[in-house]
Amino acid sequence: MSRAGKSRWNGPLLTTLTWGFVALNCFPILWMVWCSLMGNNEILQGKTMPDPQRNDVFYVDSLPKTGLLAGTINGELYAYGQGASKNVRYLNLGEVSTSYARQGNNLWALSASGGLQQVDLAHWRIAKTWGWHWIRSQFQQTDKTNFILPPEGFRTQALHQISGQLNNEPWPAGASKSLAEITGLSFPQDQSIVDTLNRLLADSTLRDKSLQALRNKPSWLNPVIPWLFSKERTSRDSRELFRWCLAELFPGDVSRFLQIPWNDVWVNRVPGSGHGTSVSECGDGKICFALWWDEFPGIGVLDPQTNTLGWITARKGLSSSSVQHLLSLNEHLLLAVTDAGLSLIDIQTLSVVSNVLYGECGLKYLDGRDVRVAALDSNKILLAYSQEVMLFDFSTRQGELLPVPMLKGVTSDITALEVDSSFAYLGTSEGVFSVNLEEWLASVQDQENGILHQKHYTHVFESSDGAGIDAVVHDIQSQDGALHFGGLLGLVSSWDVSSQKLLWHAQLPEGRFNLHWRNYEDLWKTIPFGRFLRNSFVICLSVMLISMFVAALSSYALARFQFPGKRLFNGAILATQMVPGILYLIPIFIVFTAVQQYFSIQMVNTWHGIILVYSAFFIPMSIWILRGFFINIPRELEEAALIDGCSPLGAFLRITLPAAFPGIVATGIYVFLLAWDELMFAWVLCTDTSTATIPVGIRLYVGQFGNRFDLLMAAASVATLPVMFLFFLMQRHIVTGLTGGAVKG
Amino acid sequence: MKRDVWSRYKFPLLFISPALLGLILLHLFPMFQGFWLSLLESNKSTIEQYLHAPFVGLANYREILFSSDSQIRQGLWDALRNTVLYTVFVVFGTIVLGIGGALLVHRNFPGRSVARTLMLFSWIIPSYVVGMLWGFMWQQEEGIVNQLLFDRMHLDIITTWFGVHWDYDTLGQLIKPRWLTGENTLWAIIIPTIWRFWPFAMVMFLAGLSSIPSEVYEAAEMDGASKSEQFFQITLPLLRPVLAMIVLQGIISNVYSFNIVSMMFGNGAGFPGKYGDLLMPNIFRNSFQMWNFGVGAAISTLLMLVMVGVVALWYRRFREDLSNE
Repeated sequence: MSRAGKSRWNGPLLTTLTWGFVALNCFPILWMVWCSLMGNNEILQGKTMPDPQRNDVFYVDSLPKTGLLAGTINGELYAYGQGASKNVRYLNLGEVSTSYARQGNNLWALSASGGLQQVDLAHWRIAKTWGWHWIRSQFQQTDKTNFILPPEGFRTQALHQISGQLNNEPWPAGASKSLAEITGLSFPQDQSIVDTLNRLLADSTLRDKSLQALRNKPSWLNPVIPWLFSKERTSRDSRELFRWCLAELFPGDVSRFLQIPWNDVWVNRVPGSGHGTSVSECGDGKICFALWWDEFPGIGVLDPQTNTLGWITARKGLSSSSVQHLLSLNEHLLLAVTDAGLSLIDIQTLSVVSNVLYGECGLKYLDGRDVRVAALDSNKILLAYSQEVMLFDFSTRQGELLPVPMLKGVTSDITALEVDSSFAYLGTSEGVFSVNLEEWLASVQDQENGILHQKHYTHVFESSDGAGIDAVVHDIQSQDGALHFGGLLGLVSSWDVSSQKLLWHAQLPEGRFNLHWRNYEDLWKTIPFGRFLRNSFVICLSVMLISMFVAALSSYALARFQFPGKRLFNGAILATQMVPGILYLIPIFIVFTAVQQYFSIQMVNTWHGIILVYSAFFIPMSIWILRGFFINIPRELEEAALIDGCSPLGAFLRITLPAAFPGIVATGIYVFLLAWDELMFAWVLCTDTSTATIPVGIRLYVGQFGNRFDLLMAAASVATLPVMFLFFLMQRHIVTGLTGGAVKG
Repeated sequence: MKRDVWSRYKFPLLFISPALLGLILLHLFPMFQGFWLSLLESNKSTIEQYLHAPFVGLANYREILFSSDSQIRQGLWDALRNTVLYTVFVVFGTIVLGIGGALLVHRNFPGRSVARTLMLFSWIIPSYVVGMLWGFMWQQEEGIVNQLLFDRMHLDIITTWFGVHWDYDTLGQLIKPRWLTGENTLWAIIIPTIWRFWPFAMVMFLAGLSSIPSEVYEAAEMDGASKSEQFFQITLPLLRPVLAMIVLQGIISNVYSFNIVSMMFGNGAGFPGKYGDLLMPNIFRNSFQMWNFGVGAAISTLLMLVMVGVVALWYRRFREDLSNE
């Protein structure tokens, strides 16, 4: 009786338990795929569950008739009427990492995914889109690969000069050899110097020799160069590095040869400042835009009327193509804040007026850290970074730290900076502090005289009263005595400056939850992931075929025949499984280098090298598994064939092999899976992009991956998919093969 | 006579010759070279001299075993301790989960084959992906493990009732545990490894379970044996050969585990730390990042000898089970 009662409950209970177990077991895999479809911003902020989350406001602006406009990083625009707590209009641009700039009745939105969009605020619609594809094609008309031929009218004197420098002057300064002596090339004095330079670029040994000489040159002006030296470089990096060094060592006209890189836009990049995209209106109705990564050429200047695109790039003297902020100073002057320093740009001539690198002229060395800027006039700007504010004057090229006592006790950095005619406003996680500009700037003078007027600082807005902003303020807009804030969790508010009263506040409705395929596209565009995938496939397939061929022969011999040394051979096969792989790897690596040295046969970083090693490595195990399959094939089949006049080889080929074929395929796929999963040997024997397998490739680009969990998870998913497919194709046979040895003895 | 052997065994000998060649060229030959290298001072500057690098006798062995101020020795002992703990926990966890899972899906219930297949999922994932994935999941703030345990389930509040102490920052936010630094690291590598390998044990046990004839259980039921008695008296003893294979496989593959640890910390660029380092990553670092091949070869040789001993112990322990079959 008790038994019956037990079983009635046992069944469903255990079944539930089983399915729970299954769910728990599959969860990490689902999580991996889930995160690969998400933006890194969301992942880093913990917004990984599709539950109500409001998107942060990164842009606020006033609309005509005191309405308010709020934009999120995901390209969602909300318009509020006066005093309305619900948004009256909503526009979804459907993009990621979006920055905004206002130009009269137009709003310009630049996103890493969709390019530049013009939003007509009066009609509340997207007026026009300039996609990255178009921008790229425009750019490529201005660019050539490698070193480009000097344009018509290029001074021949400059060619003489550069060839003389390369042939005779030490490389680097103070060394004993010139580049010509190091590389054994001679640099002609005419246009063909470009060919020579390109030959140098294309030859990895020559290039490495040239770079080696520069390795510890202490006095690089450009901070990117030591960084490029220190990181693990790919061939592409080396080419770029060489060009950088050349321009740096022999400045002047040689920089005209610089190639401007273009990599496909890498979306969802999260630099210190949230977006990675910046757009600004820059006089004459033109719009300039830039991205915060090295692979982008620099600053694009769009004239929407004529639909033409101009470029300000390294060739025009921009110190770095990775731009954090663009700020229009007046009708023709543009300020670009890059990861190397500050640049003043003349928009009309598209040229760089002046460059200041971080670390110079009183500026702090800010290697790509988060900076906020605001312009006081066309010469003076305020720079805010972490908890410090600096006044920089382009006319004197001097920066001075401003005292910021109101941030005492505030834990967060300055997240927004805005200046109007009389006040400066600093946004933090604990509200916005305002300070009278005149007094603040005067305090710097007084500080030099030993008097510090700290008491002039008042902080106007406290956010902790619960009514207004109690989250990080991302954007401040001051207009006609009113202040608009926008920030974390979609909070927006307006304040009256004179009475310091909250006029109005609202919170954005729940934004869309952003799932997209973009990470998979980016994976292909930003790193040579396709090549890694191909390498993995070629290597694993070859290993599979070779080891199946060899193992099928041996295991058949082991299963069917007696021969002297059979026990020893059997034992040796088992024993190989006990030896740590690294004990083989060290000698194999050394032998490979020796082979390269003595016989000049390239072994490391080649397909045949790694295939040879893998095959040898997986053959013993395949023999062991295949032996089980061969033993299970009835011997009588073969004997019958032999009686019918078949040769032993014929019997093997016609009878036994076809019978064992499912087993061979299953074992082959198992070998494929193991080879796909191998990391240690590949890490040593395939270290450049031409042979690297997926895990090694991921490791090679670890600097670029950094905290890009979205890309990492996309890479992980792509790496998992083929093996999963293959496994389920042959699941039953593989399981039989693996368990055969254990269960049947 | 010699000719006689050849003509008689020509066929099998020809068949095994490619494998034999591979075995000699890429297993036996490197193994002896590895041993020889462990007696040399082989590093980046002497690698060009190949096997003619300065002979130093047992100096490498002395350094890793006895020189008390050597950093290599200290790192090695840490790695050794971690590897032993790691292997023991992983093998134990794998077996427990494997038997449990096998018993669960050995029953008959709707969707059994789907459940079986889904359970194999974690086994098919490449192990470097396991390292990357769990390295992401273990993150202090962004990681799903801490988010589930503390943001959703509020484990800190629950465990406080049982006297567990948690620290909070100045804003009153819980300081969540760091999984990838300090002593937690060991668990951060053990748990994913069990997750990856238990389905293998399950498959093996399942094969073992289905080879037990049902008459045995019927007879036991007649004799009035309870379910748990049946499990301990019949199932477990009959599964011992499978158990033996899993223990052997588990020991070998986990002592030689490399991928999960090396991909978990900074995607292959980071150092796993004092409590996350295993022998294979340790030897790898000594050999291919410090370019000290002599020391790397010496540790590998010692490790191989130790493993021969371990396997011999295993054989003594499970000899009867293996010969029974």
